[in-house]
Amino acid sequence: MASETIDVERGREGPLPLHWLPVDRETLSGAATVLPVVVLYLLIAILPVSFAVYASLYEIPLLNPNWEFVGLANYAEVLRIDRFWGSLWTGVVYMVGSTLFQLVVGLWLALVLNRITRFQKVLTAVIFTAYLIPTIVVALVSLFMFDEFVGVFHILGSEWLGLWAPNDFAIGSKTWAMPLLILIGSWKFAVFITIFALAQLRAIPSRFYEAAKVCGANKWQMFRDITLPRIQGVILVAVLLRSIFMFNKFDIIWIITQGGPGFATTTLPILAYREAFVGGNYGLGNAMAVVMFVFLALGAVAYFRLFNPSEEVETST
Amino acid sequence: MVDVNIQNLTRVFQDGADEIVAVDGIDLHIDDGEFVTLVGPSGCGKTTTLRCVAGLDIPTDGTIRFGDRDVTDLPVQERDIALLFQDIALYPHMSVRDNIAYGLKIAGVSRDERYRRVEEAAELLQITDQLDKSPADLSGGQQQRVALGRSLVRDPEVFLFDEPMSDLDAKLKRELRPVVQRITEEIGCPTLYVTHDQEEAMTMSDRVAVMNDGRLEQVGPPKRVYDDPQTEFVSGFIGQPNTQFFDGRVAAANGSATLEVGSHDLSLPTEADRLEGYVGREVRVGIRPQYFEVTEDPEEGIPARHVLDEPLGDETHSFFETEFGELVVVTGPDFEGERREYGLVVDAGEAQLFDPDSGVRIA
Amino acid sequence: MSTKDSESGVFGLEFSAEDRLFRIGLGISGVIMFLVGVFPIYWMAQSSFKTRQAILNSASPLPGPGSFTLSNYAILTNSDVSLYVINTAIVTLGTIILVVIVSLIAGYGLARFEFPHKENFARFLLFGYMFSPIVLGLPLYLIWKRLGLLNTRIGLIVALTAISMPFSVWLMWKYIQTIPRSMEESAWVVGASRWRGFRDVVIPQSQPAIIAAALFAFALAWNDFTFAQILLPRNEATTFAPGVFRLITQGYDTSWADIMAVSMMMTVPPMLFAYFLQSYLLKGFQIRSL
Repeated sequence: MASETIDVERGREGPLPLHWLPVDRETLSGAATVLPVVVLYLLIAILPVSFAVYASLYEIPLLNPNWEFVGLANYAEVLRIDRFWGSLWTGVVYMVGSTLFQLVVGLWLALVLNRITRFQKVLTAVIFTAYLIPTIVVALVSLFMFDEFVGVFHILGSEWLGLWAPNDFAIGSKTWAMPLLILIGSWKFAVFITIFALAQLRAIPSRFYEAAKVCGANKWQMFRDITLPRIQGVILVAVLLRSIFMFNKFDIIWIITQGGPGFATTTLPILAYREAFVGGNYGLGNAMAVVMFVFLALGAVAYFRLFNPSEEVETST
Repeated sequence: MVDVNIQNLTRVFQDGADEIVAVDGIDLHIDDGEFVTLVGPSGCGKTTTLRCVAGLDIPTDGTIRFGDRDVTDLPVQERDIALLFQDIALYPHMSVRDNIAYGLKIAGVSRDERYRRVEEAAELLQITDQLDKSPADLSGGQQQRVALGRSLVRDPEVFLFDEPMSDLDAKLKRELRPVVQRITEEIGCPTLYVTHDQEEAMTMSDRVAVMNDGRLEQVGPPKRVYDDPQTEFVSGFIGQPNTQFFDGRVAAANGSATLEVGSHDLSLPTEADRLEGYVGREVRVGIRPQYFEVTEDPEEGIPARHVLDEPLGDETHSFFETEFGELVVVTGPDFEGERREYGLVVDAGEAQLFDPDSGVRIA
Repeated sequence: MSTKDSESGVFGLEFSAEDRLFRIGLGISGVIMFLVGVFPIYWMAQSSFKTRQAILNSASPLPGPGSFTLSNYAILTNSDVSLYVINTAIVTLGTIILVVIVSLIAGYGLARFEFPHKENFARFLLFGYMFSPIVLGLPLYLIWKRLGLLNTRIGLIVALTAISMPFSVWLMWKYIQTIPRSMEESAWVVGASRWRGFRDVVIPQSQPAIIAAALFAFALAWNDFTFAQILLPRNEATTFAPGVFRLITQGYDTSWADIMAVSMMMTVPPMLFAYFLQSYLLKGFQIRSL
């Protein structure tokens, strides 16, 4: 194309005598534009994480301003305590269960939204609303609907489906707490997958399907051979992000169950929060949080090796 | 009004460890009011040259002057040029009127004065009814007219074109060419027009500059570049259908030269001493398709088997299979080949000889 | 694709039957989706119009003649709750503005300038999402305290903007890349500085991406619980999510009816955006590669 050469500004003298810098002007301009982002990122991510790692090497009792250096003792304790491994397991269960469920439901939603002709706008609005609703509202409405005295789902569950006794708070039961948590969260978060998938689906030119129909393909074959390969890349990315977010999820679990009953829904973030803010042991809580992060980082690396979602995803312009 | 003086313009790109020489020390002078076309195949460096003249790219070496102003390092905003882009680049969120007026707005011209000048330009370009529309509602040809208007109102010192018609169909191209010529004449400033289409170059320019691989092969009026190409490349690039090339050997006999092409001897009108260094050597021979004659008898000329015809109405392009490969010959509008053997007679006087290594014209 | 093994639709049906089956399945799916999606919202809405007593009495599908009331919405005049809502609105608006400005500039820089490690920088940003808010919680608290940003709306705005960065910068970057450079160059040719060209040409052209980024920032800020909980510990300054949570857990006398009314209030803006701006949300998620 005629105008595709790189816009190089080497050699120009601006108002500042920049030639004594080891970088050229273009790099400077580029760096300047991302400077605010870098500063914010520093504040929000780099500094806190460094601090957290630093703090995890100390024993920090709640009201005592004196930090006692304990080296890796916090980590040793973290790995020793029962609750840690239990919470790790609970967290994994929550992450995998949620992600899988959200993947299936989210994909199905996207496929339907892509094909539906009548009421498409209304249906899409309903689906998107579920994602845009604040988590607190989702949590509150769920608590209301499962309330053992007045909740509509509670009544449905106990009287119509016999899932639990009329006096048992479903979310407070050991058997139902986790599944219900997964379901409630997925009502909102599955749509995340839907949005990714739908954006990709819309980008598949209809002539691909027309060509397949000419060859005599049926709907399943078209899905398998055209649709799936095209959305594969985004799905992998979405699943990765969803897994990370679900593993790190704090607010919805805390609001609905606070990690209960007992420790049934205590995932690592909940445990860390409890230790640091409720138990008052900041050092230990931080160590836990750092371990969480390492676990995630390793998981992400493994994921990338396995699936390589960074392959170019096709979109038609 | 000024003239444009390009001297030793060089542009080298760094691609990791490699160096790519896009423009290799070219010299070009454009007189005030002159229309010069820079033509060449993709990647020859013509666009890079243009962008250096425009100020969108900085040369590695060399100078560019507009009159007595040295603009080599001047930012594009201060060069007072007009530039027409291949992808037109009108602003979709502004009306046609505001698109044309934008440059004047930047310059601080008052609103009334701006719009007055826009009306003037629109009349010249015959787009007065489109002024209130959005660019997306216009056809490609109309959009280019608006782009021309945008350049026209600023009364630039130099007018630059970056393959503005590449995205248009043939009919539109032919409609737009005279418009471009009229406008540039009206403004009267030096014009540098870049294209890969040699037909555009030939029809629009005062002078044609043929570029290849970063260097200028030949600069001259269209007729001269066509009739008298200085290199093999120029001969092959200018003119449709392309010059047909062969390998031949020069032989001399009593002061007159002969050319052995395959199994034929052509007697050359050139004096033998002009071809001195080449007697007994291989040369490249170029003959334009218009200078073959088709005879019934294959023995009379080069034996050729007719393959197909492309009738164009006023002439026909006929394809023949010969010992030298496939040849194209321009025949009369009523010619209808019969897929059999013919003879191709060469007008030896029109044969062009080129050095086999450098491509430079010998005779 | 061979034509031999696919001469029939799924399950061996005729193609026309397959078509019909498909459309029926589609219709049923649509209905299910609609019901599942709408039900909680409908329940919340209808409960918000019931009297407290009516809710305690039964879980009826609609407020009956004696139980319909608008009095629940009076909770919005409750100074605490209305403060929470106003704070949320301010913080959300501030976040949207800051996010759009910062990501526009950064996105432009990434799209138009070449500098070393550009790709890695972007990927590094995305990496930031791996940090749980819990990891950041206490350190953030301490840093903000040191900067004097604790208990300030600005402090929360800055934090939420930072969280939005990876996504919105990515979005702007990829979108601005699709704007031809020649459009800016044609502005430069007529004398516009780079800044002027950015203002007059790039920004208007980026409208879809700007709206998508704004929507995303809205969803993040309107929804936020964790950061507000940590950075706005004092009651007076907090936003809706932690505020209402505290109200409930601290055992104040708030009935389900009141809670549903406020929740409904918080749900209306997202609903409107979901209906009117859905295409922008989709545009923003058309990512190409990681």
